Amino acid sequence: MLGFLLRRALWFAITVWIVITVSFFLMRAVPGGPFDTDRAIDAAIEKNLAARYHLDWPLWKQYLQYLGPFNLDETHGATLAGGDGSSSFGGVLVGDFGPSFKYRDFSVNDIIAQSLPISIALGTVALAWALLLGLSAGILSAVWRGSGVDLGLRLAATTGIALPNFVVALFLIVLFVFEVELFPVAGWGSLSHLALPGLALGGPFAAYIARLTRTGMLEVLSQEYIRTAHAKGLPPRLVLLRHAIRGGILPVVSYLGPATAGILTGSLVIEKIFAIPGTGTHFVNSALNRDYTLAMGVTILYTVLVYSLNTLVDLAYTVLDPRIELEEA
Amino acid sequence: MPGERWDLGGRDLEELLVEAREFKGESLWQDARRRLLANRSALVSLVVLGVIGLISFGAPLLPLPSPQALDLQLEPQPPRPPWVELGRGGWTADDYDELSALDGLMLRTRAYLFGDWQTGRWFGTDTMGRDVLARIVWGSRVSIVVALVATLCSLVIGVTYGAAAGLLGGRVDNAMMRLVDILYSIPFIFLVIFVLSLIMERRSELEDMGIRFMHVFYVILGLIYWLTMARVVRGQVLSLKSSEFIEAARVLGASTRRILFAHLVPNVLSIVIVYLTLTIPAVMLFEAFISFLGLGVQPPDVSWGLLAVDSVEAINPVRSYWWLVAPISCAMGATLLALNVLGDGLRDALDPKLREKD
Repeated sequence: MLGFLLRRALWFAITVWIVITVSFFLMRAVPGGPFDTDRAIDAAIEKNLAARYHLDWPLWKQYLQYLGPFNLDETHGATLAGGDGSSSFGGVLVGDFGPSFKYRDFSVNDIIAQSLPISIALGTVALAWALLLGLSAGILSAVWRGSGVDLGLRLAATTGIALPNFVVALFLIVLFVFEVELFPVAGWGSLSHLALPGLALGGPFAAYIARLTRTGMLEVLSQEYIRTAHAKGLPPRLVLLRHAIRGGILPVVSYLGPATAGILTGSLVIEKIFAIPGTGTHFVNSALNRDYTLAMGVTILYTVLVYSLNTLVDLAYTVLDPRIELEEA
Repeated sequence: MPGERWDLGGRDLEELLVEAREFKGESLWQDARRRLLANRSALVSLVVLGVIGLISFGAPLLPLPSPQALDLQLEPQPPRPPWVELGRGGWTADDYDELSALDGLMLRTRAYLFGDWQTGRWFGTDTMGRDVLARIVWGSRVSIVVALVATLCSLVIGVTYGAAAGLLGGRVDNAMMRLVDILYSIPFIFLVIFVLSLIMERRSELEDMGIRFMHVFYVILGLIYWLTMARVVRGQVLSLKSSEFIEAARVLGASTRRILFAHLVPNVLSIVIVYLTLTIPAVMLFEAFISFLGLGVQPPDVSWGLLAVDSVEAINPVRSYWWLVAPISCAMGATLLALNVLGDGLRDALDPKLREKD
């Protein structure tokens, strides 16, 4: 277990380092910068801006500064006009993503700190929807295999996988906002703001989970220990709940890693449609606004998130199924 | 005479050979075709996709209004079904810009066939007075081309990489697959969006160099979909390499080339085809996703992703223009559904081992 975690940590470090390095040099490889506008900027201002963001340094020094965890800026930005020493930052390795290029008064960390809880809440709701709908649909269609219910649920699942989540979102909005007027159309603030985007985001994953659950349940239901349980006179409900489900949902557990990554990604679009001020919205805006530090910060953050979640899922898998051993990192 | 050595049950060898000729061995492909033809939903999907492909390719031949012709009226017009208004006249070749030679030819053929007649607003018009049906048909072209090119890229890279890893084996294989593992754990969409935003900045300079932004876009999409392909191909090559029939071929003295092309390639091909049909819908979805965020296909080009953006903007509490939402959702849903069903069907047909337990 410890060896597994250590190996994981090593590959994790390498992966994150690659992401940081590649995105840093990509960003710098493009001539021009975030401050290019149609309007000519005064040379002094331009110089000041470059100094503020260390763009006047040689590339290797900028890279080291960005990577951290040491500060190469001895002046702490205090020599600049209006500088108060706050412009220096510790580097990505200590979790400091530096100042935002566009939101001048904010650091990338400020923006992430504001928006990440929103995105996490949305992602949690989406995952809850996906599990709730997917597991129940999968179990139902496995138990009533071949019936109309099974057929209908499978058709719904195939459609759910095929439809893009923004199309699902559009239908949900038309249905539950304009026709039935159950939920507010967009925005952020209360739990009811989360239900609809969560459903739209979780929908396709619910469909996939339903398919996995159905397959897993069918396999388990044909096992001998299930027959034994029936034979010794357990009520069918207990057989299902106590014996079958545990083995049947195992495939779902290993899918949770990719599903979480997918939900994080999908939230880019869903947040945009429902005007939710989460990290996804900021990321898309930063890509469109040329706010490179913010875009890089979010990319790195999500790499870390996805990687950690995948490791957690792998660990959970061994707890649930003792037959699996942690060999490959 | 061989007949003297084996007991033929008192029958003539020639007779037996004639009889044996009637039993044809079933190759992998014949077997697969039989199974695919028996799968009705996969067949329907195939037909649907064929029709969509034909319509999309022959878009300039159809008497549709130009997808770019603006008509800045006040409001988007609701659909007028064919039985209310069948068509009207008045289009000119000027309504279309930048057509390839083939498209231009098709457009002239259309002018010859239909004159200046064009369909009415069967599906309504959008906020800029453009015909929704025409935009869906023309938009499908970009979406399909993106999907095909990106899938092709992923095919070339993935198969080469996977086959190389599988064939070389050992430490090289280990290192190559470790790289794939690393790439797998990177949330690519973020990197792609980041890279696209950087390239978008330099669009005009790229175009001066003769590189169209769209082409870069296609290739970048292809670059992220090869990982699964590489893994699958490598796994297949590894298991084939140690399989008994390859061993047998080698014992019989088959050359490496013959083993490679007569035995390995056909067996890997089936699994590659399956993953191709499953990659295409994923790429189409991704194109829609990226265009939706404003980083993919740029107006005046039109793609399904852009149409989806229009449909989102068309929804508001005051008045929702349903005809901007329903047709594109249906077109996209139907295509992706058909591709998924066909992919599942092909997988069942070509690789019974992968089959879900149904």
